[in-house]
Amino acid sequence: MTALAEQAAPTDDETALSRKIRSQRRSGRDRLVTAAGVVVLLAIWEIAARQVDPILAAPPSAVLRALISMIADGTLLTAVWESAQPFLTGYVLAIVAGVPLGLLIGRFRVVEAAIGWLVIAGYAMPMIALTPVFMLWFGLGFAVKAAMVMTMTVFAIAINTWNGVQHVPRTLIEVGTVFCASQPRILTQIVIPSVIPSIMTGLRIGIGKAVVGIVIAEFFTAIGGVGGVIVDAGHSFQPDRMFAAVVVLMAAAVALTGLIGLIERRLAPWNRSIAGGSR
Amino acid sequence: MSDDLAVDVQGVSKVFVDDKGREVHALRDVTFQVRRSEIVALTGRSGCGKTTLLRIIMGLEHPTSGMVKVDGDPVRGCGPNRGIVFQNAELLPWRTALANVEFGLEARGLPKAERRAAAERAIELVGLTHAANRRPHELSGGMRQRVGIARALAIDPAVLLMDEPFSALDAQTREKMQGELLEIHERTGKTIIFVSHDIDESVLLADRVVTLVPDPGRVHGVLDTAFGRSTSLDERRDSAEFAQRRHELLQLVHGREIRQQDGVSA
Ligand SMILES: Nc1ncnc2c1ncn2[C@@H]1O[C@H](COP(=O)(O)OP(=O)(O)OP(=O)(O)O)[C@@H](O)[C@H]1O
Ligand SMILES: [Mg+2]
Repeated sequence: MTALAEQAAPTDDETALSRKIRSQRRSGRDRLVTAAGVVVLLAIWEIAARQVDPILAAPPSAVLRALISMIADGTLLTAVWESAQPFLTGYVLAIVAGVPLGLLIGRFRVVEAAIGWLVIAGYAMPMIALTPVFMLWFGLGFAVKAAMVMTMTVFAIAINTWNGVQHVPRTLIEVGTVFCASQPRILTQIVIPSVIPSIMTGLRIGIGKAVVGIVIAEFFTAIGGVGGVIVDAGHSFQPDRMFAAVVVLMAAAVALTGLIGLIERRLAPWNRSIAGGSR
Repeated sequence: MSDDLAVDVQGVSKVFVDDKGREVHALRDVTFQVRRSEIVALTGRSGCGKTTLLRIIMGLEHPTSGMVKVDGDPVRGCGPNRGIVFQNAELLPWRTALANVEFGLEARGLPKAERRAAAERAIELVGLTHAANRRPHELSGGMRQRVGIARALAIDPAVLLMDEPFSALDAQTREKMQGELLEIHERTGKTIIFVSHDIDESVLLADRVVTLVPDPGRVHGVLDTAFGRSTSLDERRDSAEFAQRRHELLQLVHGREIRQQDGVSA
């Protein structure tokens, strides 16, 4: 039988290998298409922006110049640093609160009945509406920004974790039961690993929410940070600086989302290979 | 005679209450015995209670009445005397093949070295030593199911319970796995109970086939289908007995009574 099995093995390896090569070729082509898309968009923007009043819009070339000068005079670094601190604080708080919250709601009926509705409401509601109240509670500085980021993010993380717990395959739990695993063992060896991909999804969605949170807080308080730079540039008719700050925000959001994806692939490498991608 | 019994199913009935509050009689008064080292197939039309019966033997479901004894001990929940193989393997995707095989041993608190050694033996038994460190997504369907079988064998159970273990595999792989199961049986002498939809599979692999009929699920007949030990699958398939038994089983499954019941001797 061992001989039989070994005969079969090379074919298995072969299919895995060819699959990999095919997917690599595909991702190479995809990257080219993405690059072309960016170039075309930049060209259109450049041409269009040159037709209008420089007070109203700035072409990519001007934005790039503004970006360089803002890096050179240190305004950008200061602004990013001012935003990053409350951003990270709020985001980490949201993880610390949101993940256990989601686990508890998903695992225990009582907790779900008690506060499940609150999480759904919190997720569905535009938290921007709370900004004025938050300013009353937390003032105009660091605290209100962190609080905004946290409230924007925590529900997305909690709801995704909750969802993940609900979708732990029942048969996997049965594997635990049938092999006489204790409840704690089932929780740590089966439930939590199963939920990791959902938690990571929550964290990824959370990044977008957190960026909205920090920008809104900075718009309202108009004190410092990248959001502050955007408001100032808008008020002083400097669209190039404004777009430069927007580009920085965009890049930061994309980079952070990518980072989460990277962590996810390290923590749950099995997940990507199970979920099918688009062609 | 009774210590020759591996599994004793005594008057098992199971009534489910469905979402609308109606009673579903999944099993009524099911009785049969499985001898040590015997391979028994449970077959019958969809909904006749095969899975329910197997889950009761697994300890995942409690019978409404009646009881099941494995090795003389009444079944109450899980137990190391039964190794379970799931339809779709149901491996933990974050664990390597070897670590999956170790899962059942961990729950029993074996020291790590012993665990590893037992898992390696089981992996070797199913011919997967070369793939021991791969994760399930890096394995083919057949290999995954072999890991599932190894996981069940690793705890050295008295009885192997399998619910449609090969039904998710393509025809070629299924045939190969059937042959391997017979080889594993020959080497380990485990008692095996498996559920199958497949008439041919039941006749080829099992020593006896228990057929169930639905509404309520009950035993309709038990057909003796034993080939001599170490007759290969191909030999079995080409034999005259195969065609005859296949015919008999088809009749049983489709509800027609055949005269000799409970151990038809050909
Ligand atoms: N948890 C449950 N609640 C209510 N009814 C159930 C439940 N599980 C099974 N049943 C019913 O019991 C009967 C037997 O189901 P079972 O799954 O054991 O059949 P089966 O022979 O395994 O069918 P199949 O060949 O399709 O797998 C069916 O009528 C089914 O609807
Ligand atoms: Mg079934």
